[in-house]
Amino acid sequence: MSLLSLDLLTVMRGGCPVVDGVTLEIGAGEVVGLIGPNGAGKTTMMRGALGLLAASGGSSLTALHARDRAKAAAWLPQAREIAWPVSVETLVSLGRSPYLAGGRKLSQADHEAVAQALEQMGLTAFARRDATALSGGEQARVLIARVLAQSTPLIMADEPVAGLDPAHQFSLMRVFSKLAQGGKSVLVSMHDLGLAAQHCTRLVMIHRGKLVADGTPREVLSDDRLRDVFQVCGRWDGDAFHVTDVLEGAV
Amino acid sequence: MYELRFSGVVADVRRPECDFFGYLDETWRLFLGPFWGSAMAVADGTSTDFKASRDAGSIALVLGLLGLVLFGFVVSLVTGPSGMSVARGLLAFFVDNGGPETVVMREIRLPRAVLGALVGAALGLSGAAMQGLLRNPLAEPGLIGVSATAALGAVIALQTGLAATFALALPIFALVGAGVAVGLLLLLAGPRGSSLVLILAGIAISALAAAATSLVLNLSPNPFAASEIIFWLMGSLADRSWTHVWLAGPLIALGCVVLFLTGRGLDALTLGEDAAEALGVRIGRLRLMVVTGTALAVGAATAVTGAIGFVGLVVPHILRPLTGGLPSRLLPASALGGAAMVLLADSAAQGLLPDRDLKLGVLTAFIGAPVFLHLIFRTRRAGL
Repeated sequence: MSLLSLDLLTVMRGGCPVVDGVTLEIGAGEVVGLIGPNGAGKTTMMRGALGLLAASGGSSLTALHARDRAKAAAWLPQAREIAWPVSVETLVSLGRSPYLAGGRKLSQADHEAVAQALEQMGLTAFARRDATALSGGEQARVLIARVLAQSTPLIMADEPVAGLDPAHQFSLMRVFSKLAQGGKSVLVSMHDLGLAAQHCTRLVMIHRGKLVADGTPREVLSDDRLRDVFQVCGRWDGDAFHVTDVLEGAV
Repeated sequence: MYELRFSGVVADVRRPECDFFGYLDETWRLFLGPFWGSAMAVADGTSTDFKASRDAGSIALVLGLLGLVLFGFVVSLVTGPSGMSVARGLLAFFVDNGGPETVVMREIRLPRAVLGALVGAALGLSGAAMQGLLRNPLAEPGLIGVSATAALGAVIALQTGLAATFALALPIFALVGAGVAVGLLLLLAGPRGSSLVLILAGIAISALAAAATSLVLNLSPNPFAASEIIFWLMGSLADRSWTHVWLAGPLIALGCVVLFLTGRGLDALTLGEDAAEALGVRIGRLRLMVVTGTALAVGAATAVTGAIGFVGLVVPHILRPLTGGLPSRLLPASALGGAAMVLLADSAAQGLLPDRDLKLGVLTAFIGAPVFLHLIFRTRRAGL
């Protein structure tokens, strides 16, 4: 079953394509890592796919009504915003809002989804704390829990591991893998190629708005693509991938 | 100035060493009394059954504020320059004795109190909604330019003498001014305009309206008209009748209904515009609802009372820590808090200087300034 299908998705900014004809299909049970250098168009592609930006070409999500789309795909933006001093539990409950039509209050099922999301992110003990008083990394985890509480088949996350300590980076990727084993899918943009190679079932590489590679980590992270797109050298060490050096004159 | 974020500052509210709670505590304990305990439990989340206590806390807060509004309403009814005793006044209010006392109570003081409650609710509610929409605790209803243009409309009515020949000319001109502001605002900000564009457009409209008001005053050949304009601009509930209530009431009520419908959307907006939109909130529609709701409520309020500042800024600011932060919970609390503040401030304005006609807007500004001062101290202490 396809959870997201993009057909020649193009996003223009000032007459120049930031995302240029991306065609992509995401099925059930995948952890798809979206990689590419700064400014490659990762964020723009995901926002265009969600209908948050005007885009041409097709996206299966933009065809949906706003509320149905919110039940089909959850979105974790890169900017971690918590405008008001609300409790962690309240903030995570906001993930249930697509299910609360017409002023309905949180049901037992909603509370269970919230409690489960808190547990998945190791936040149960924080439930009553003021979310704005937490550290940056803790806030990031709270916002990820909000996305999990939305209980959507597809999660799109923009650099969710940025700012997390190594243990939480690792365990977040493990949470994503578990979701994929349960039939859900995750599209996650990231810069840590080693982490991506280790945890993603599939990598999608974009460069200057174009999709340049799509496949298993070992297929995508080839020497010539690393050189041409990222201007680095890398090395496979069994199942682990390391970036070893930056090319001369790259930066 | 709108960049000053609240979140880092509010984090201090629950710490024992922070003076803010002391300040709040002393100010509000007088009024809230027994409700305070549960409201506190909500604020610091120490109670054992969190959800139950939170719901009980919101109900207690709303009941407490409702009590405060009732108290303010009665105080407003028994306050006035006629020198009637409280008991005689209330007796004349309930039992028609055919004398002037009943007329004073029912035709002068009652509409004044009703108007005070309506205008206060409009200001408090739209302030909370505007802060929720812009995700900024320094936002206030005047930001979108409606108050300034309503005032300009009223000033034109006063200057041209139309207000003297036809009593309703002033509020009607003010309403037209508010309507023009909304039209201009939506034209400038556009259907997909961001919140930043909305603020810029609002500031531009306010500045233009203020300049035009100054121009009218500047060129006014008649010093009496000029002083009348200046006093009107200060904002007051004095000498308002049922006509004003019937003129402004329905528009304020309509505006309030629209604003109350935005609660859920504003809650989602806590996570930012992108996340809220992905949660199914239609941001463009939400923005339109907040702008038109505020324009209806505040435009109508300004049309009958003049510009009463700081209520829409101060009331949500004070009540936010007591409601747990979510805009949907803050909206009803701010409406009640605004009504209570305007009613009590109006009575205080009459009581403090009974012979000098102290304007309501002057007093609310004196209440508003210390809140800013306190915000400055807290920000400095937090080292921001």
